[in-house]
Amino acid sequence: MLPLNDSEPNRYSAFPFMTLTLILVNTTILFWELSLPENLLRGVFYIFGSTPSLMWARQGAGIISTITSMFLHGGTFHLLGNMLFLWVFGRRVEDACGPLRFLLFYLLAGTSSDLITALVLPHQDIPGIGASGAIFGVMGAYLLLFPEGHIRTLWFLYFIPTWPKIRAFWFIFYYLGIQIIPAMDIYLHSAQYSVGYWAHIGGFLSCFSILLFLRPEAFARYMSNVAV
Amino acid sequence: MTREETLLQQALTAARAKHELTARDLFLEVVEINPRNEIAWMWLIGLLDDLDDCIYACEMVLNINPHNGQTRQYLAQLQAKKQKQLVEQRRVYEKQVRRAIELAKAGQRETALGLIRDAAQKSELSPEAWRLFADLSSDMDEQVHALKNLLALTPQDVKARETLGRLSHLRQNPHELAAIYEEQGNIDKAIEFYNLALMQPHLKKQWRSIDRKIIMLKFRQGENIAHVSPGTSVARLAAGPPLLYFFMLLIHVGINPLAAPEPILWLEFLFTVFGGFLIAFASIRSHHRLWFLLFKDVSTGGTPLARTSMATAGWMLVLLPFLHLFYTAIQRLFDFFQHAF
Repeated sequence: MLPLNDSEPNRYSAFPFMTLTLILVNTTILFWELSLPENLLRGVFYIFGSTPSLMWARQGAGIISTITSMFLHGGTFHLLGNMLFLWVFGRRVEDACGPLRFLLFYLLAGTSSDLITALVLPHQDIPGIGASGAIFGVMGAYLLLFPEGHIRTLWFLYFIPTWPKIRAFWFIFYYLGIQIIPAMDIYLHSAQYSVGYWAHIGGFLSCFSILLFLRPEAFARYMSNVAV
Repeated sequence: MTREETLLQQALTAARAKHELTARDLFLEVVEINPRNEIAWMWLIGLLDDLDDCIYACEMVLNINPHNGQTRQYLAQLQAKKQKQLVEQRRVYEKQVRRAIELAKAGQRETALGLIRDAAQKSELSPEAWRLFADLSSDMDEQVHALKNLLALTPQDVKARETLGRLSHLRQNPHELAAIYEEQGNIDKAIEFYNLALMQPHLKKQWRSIDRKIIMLKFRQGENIAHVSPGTSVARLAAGPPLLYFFMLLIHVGINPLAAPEPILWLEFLFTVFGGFLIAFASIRSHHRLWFLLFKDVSTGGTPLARTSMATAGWMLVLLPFLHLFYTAIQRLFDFFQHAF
């Protein structure tokens, strides 16, 4: 199940400047990564990915790796998936905040996802990379701001593609739900997964902070239970 | 017989027949035709109800015939009566103003405003009362009226002069005033002043954005959106940068602040708090008290230049700790490299 688009128009601004900039920056960095030899790329991931054990030991690039890890991706499909989610959910969240405040929120969500991962898995020494923690924050913010929103979604029913519009509520909770079991498995049984489930949950938890970044009018609308 | 003489005859007949209202109207017509008709004015003295009108009629008689001693005597009586009335009235209104001051102190601003508005319409007010009137009223015309009256009585009042200057600026720049009303949640007034701004030739370049604002506000009118005070907006928007810095700093110090205190970096957290506050405050247009504390010489309570300066200072205060944090992180990274290789 993949999100395709949210057809609702923007309310405040015509152009999602920061969402597109983030997509551009992430894509450019992936091209740079693809140009590196594998050994060097592994080194880049180790230094500029976020590693909880290094974080606790106050070693490595510290906060720099938290920021850089948000812009590193493990491959084309990793990037495409993340950027698709960022585009579908980020556009309207950015519209409700304005580009600069949206960037601050995005960084906050990414930082929060790193913090939660480090708190839950302090001994993990595999570097975490990808924008998904921050994007889960954006998805949570979307859910908070547009609970009535509908997302056109790509489904495959016996290999036949369909693209119904479903409530964002169900879509986001589905994605949040499929994080919880593996996340608990990691926490309770030290299972190894290649996906940062706790980072996703951490990013999602930061979604409440979106209220600090909303435009005054969007906040007034939110407080009045009117479509943001 | 002229029309004046005919009307005078008719008026005298009506007066003698005790038809006072008809007589008064006829005498008034006579003095309209000939304002120097002494007989008509003399009769009017007795027929007019209002004390001021009677005094005016007496003055007209004396103007035509200065030797009319009886009228002069009567005028003196009327003036004394008027003076007594004025003293009595002033006493009542002074009492009303005192009550308004007490109510304003007790926080009942609307009731106080009602009393003082009534008193201002009917009587001369003291400087203190005019000041209170300007302070209580949210209507700009009333504020200007009160401040002008206050300055007429106390021309040395610098604060009143500054406030009047600011209000005059806002009157000439209705789009700024509209933005203030919008922030205060007074949508009707905001639309009114945005419409006024559309007619200002010097705002022609902003026509499209102002027009868009009006459409949005009209749309909002039907949506019943709660008003969020500028103070709440400042507090809310100011919290974002410090929160981000706090999270980043926690990561930098290895989650445990006690293990690696880094006091300077923690101290800089306060910079982000203050910087975040300045940035948020610069985006607020209301003529807030803090504007006057910070920019006493700015007559408008927030010119674009003042706001830009405040936002720039805020961004500098916010960015400085972040840059310091990143610099420390880079240093640590170099140490890590030296250690590793």
